[in-house]
Amino acid sequence: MKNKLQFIIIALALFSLFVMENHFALRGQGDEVVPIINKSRKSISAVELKRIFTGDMTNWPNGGSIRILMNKDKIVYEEFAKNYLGMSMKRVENLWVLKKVRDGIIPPRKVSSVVIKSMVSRSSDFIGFVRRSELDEDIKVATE
Amino acid sequence: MKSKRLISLLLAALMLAAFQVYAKDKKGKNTEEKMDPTELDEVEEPSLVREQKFHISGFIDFQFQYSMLESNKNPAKIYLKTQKHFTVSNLNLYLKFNVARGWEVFSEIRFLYVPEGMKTPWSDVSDPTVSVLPQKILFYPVDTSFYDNNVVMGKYGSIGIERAYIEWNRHDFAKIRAGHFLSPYGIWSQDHGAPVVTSIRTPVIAAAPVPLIGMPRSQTGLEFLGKVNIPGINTLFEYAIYGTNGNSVDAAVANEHNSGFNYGAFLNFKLPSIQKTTDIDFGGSAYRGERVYPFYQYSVPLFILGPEGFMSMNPYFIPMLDKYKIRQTDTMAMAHLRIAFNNLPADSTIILQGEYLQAWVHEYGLGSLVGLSGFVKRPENYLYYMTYGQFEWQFMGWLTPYFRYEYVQFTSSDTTLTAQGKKFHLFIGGLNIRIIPEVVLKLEYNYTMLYNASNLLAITDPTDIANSKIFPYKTNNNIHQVQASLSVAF
Repeated sequence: MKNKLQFIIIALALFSLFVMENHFALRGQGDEVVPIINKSRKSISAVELKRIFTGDMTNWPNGGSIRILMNKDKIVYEEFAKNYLGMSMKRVENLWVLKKVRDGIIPPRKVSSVVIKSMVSRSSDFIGFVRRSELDEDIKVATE
Repeated sequence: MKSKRLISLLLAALMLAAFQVYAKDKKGKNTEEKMDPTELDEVEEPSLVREQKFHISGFIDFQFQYSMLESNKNPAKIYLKTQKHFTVSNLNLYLKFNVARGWEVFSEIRFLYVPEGMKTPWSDVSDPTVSVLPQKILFYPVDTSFYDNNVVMGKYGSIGIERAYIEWNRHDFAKIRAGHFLSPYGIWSQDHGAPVVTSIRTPVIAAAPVPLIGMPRSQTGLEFLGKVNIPGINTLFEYAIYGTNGNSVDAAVANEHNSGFNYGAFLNFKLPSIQKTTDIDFGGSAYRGERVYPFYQYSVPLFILGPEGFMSMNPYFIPMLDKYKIRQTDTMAMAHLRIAFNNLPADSTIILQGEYLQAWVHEYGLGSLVGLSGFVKRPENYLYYMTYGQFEWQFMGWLTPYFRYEYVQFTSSDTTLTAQGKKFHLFIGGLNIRIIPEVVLKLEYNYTMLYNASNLLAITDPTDIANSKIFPYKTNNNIHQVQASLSVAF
């Protein structure tokens, strides 16, 4: 009886370790923030991505205006800005004020991941960024 | 036995933690799943799906300026000594209309504000040509209170059209603009909005070409522009070429008679980030223009003391006699370099930038000289050199101390007094505080050393000009200025 109890406790402990390991692995390496585009679009390079999100590239290579959606989750936004644009979120926002004052360009809207996914899956004009775990079959990572 | 209990407790704690993690994950997923798709469609998506057709934006800046002449010998000091005043320098309104996919109409209207406007100081001058054109006040942009206002405006309190064009922009590599657009040259010419310009005072190199060379700050004609990625080296090549009617915006008020063809080009190479941290931009600009205009026998810079106590550091050119016409050709070449070191500690970016401009101006005299004789010799060649170097350190995303050194030199065999002296040094230091992305507070100190400058005149009464109460004085003038400005983009 005592051995059985010990066996159950050890089994549960191993299961718990598995759940936790899985969770942290997901949040750590696997669940990074990724740029997303519509499945019908060709992938873009990291340089092109930076140009899009800093306002230097405003049209898709085959024509049509690029419509950018920023993620309103500050942690996601900050991570994307650091990893893909090489600057802080604050700097990205300052940059868009510059674009607005310079040419009257409307800064991108900040919306939730759900809206970004929805818009990107519906229209090939849109580009945004979400966590990798939020990807689904209608969208793809822009740079892969 | 004790150790077994301890192990059991640890295992239980581990299971509890695992359960919490599992519950949290599930809760997160449930939250997303529970979002009402109908609500989503109605509230957020329609506004995103429909591209905004019409958009209004702009900026405003409010400024305080304190100026002090260093030299006791300067006659202007009799009147001025020290001056301090508040101004609303800019109220610019942008209107943007997306006509159709790839077609856009854009305009920028500038409102110059001074309470009750401003009296024209020479409206009493007996010369009828002058008196009927009181708006001949030309205020030029070596200025602090009037942001890079290279546009020769009628008078304070007036309205100016800075840009008004239709643009075809379907592709990044080739866009076409038709209408009135800002002349593309160097780093600063396009960034004239106070909220995004680091310093209060724009560099002379960006501001001076208009009065000195005759290159209009904004021109009317056709512009072809675009950005092309150079494959292999991933460098962005930006270009703009334009042809215009040659008239500056002040053509009407300045009696500009030219109907020629002016042209120019701008190139910039944006290198890909080195190690994701260093951005480098470099390029050049060129301009060739011609204009014909009436020359005023006596043109000097002066201070204006308006009835509301307003004082401007701008060199105002006083048209005294309007009997002499000049045809002038202007050729300008310019180079720029900008290096940004990003991602430094404390969210820092260090920016180093510099520009160099050289201009060749040739004047041909037309007609005959009437009135004072022998004062101006024509034809005449002028050569202008201008350069500056700027250091700025942006940290924490909102604080930017900056320093800039400028040098300007004019060469001419002419004995005519030049507006800002034969050469001058300018030192600027300041702090740019970005309170939020749209609101910027700037504090700045300028020290200008003018060598062999023409006289700085002080006029309290417009009849002073008519009564010759002016002070031709060639001297070295050093000026201290402290300024503060608050700019808001909306």
